[in-house]
Amino acid sequence: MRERRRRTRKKCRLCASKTKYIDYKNTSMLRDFITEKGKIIPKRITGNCAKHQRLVKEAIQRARHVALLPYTKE
Amino acid sequence: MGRRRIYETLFIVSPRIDEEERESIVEKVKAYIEERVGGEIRSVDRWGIKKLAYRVRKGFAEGDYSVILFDADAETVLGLERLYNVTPEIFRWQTFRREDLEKAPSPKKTDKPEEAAVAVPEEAPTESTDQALEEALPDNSVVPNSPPDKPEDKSDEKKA
Repeated sequence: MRERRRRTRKKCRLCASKTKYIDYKNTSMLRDFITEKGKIIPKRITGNCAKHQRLVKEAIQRARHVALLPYTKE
Repeated sequence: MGRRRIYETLFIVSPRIDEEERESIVEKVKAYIEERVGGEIRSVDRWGIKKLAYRVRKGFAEGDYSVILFDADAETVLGLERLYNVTPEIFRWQTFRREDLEKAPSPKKTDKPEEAAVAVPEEAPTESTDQALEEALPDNSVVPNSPPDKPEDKSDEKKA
């Protein structure tokens, strides 16, 4: 079982689509990477690579600052 | 030193004032970018009144969003911050560099000749040899298209 679990490693979705820049204004896309409460989903769960997780994080933080995305939701 | 860079700025204008005044503030920002910052405006995107994701401290639940894309020198962009600071109607703003757009034009220019340079020698010999082979078999009248390949083909034919 353990080996099986290890093998099912997710691939980075953004690498597959060759994303070079993540626009913070594209909230519908960024919403895929935050929880219902508005927290950023760790790359452990989304399967993003480090580079794309960083781009996602930056975009989400920018979007939050200009109130396009929530910091929190009760 | 003063390298031209691409910047994107987004600002939210208070919804408490009239549409015309909001429009005039956007014009003011545009004029400021062009005159004081010495920038070149690429595009202006007015989103209009939009609901905020959360309530801002000033109590607004919505705001008038505008996005401006412009070229400017790295040193003078900070001046824009000063305008925002003295304009109380603009309650949120954000300016940053669009490095992806800066990178975009230069690699394409360098890539295209490289690709072409790589592609031409690859295609040329294969095509000419194919043509030469195909056309050489029925008759040997295809001299002008592929002079360098012809002797090889002939030798191949002789060998065959």
